[in-house]
Amino acid sequence: MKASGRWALGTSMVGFGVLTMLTSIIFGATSLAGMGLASFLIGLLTLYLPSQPSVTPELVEAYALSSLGNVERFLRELGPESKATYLKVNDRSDVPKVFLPVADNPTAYQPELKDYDQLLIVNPEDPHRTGLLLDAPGASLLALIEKESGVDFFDLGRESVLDALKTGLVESLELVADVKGSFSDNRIKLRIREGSVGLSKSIARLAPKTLARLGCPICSAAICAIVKATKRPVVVENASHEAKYHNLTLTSPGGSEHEAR
Amino acid sequence: MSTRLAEKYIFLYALTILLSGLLLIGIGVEQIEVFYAVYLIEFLIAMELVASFRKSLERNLRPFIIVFLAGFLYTVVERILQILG
Repeated sequence: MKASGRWALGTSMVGFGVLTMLTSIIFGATSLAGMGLASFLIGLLTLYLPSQPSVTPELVEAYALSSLGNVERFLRELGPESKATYLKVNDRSDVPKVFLPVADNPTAYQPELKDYDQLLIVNPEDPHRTGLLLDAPGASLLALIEKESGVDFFDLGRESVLDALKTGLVESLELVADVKGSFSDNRIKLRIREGSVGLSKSIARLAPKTLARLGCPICSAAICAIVKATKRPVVVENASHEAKYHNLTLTSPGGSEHEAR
Repeated sequence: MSTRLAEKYIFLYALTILLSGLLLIGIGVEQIEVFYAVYLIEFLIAMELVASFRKSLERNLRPFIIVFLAGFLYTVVERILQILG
């Protein structure tokens, strides 16, 4: 509903409620006052609660564009062509990190905790252990999801992470229209349908490498949630961003069959 | 576009209080305090149902709760004074 229509509806209901209550006092009809009170309260709530999304897609784009552009330049200049690994989270307060090795690693390498402050990890003997260590692009979005939904993904298991993720992204933040996913053995598939805050074409055009390797901020937040809940590293095998859908294929060592919606 | 959570909350609450208002009229309730108390309870229940998804909605509604509870306290005190007097 548009803000002007909502304002008109709310004001008329408040006005109608006050009039009804005054009339009921004059004529001594309590039941009429009850209905007037109901109308008054509904009108107040209609006026008071926010009707529009608290952030516009343009604002999200403006905030994300420069940061994603910087990450894109990093990836383009340093040129690692490997798959990104979202690292295992050891503590509920840890910021999820993502490691991009110079060369693809057959096993998901977990840098040492002492290296977590570094941006560039260099191991001259092993290119699999040399690469970029970044804060996950969706880490702060995940923190917001946890704050709004009141759920800490660290307390969840893999059987409930998809439900919590859907609640957080669809109901709490209203960022996307739907989240579907499946866990099978060590493979995780996610399909996210965009809502009102879409991934604009300019982000996809400006940062194609970042989107394909790390995922967009929404996808990255979803991966961070999975990493936090499963307490295992996750490798991004494929991240594709179509017009209305984001598709993610991830691998994580271990796990049992679980299908979610 | 799907209905937003705040709008869902208003629809749910509006539907509930209109139905309960009609029910109270139907059973012949005459005191406005009863209407008020029922609406307050329904307001809190609807808030718990919907705002559990979003903590900020609960924070937005907090001033309403305070005003609502203050009104309820007023009616209770008034009724006590009436009984004592």
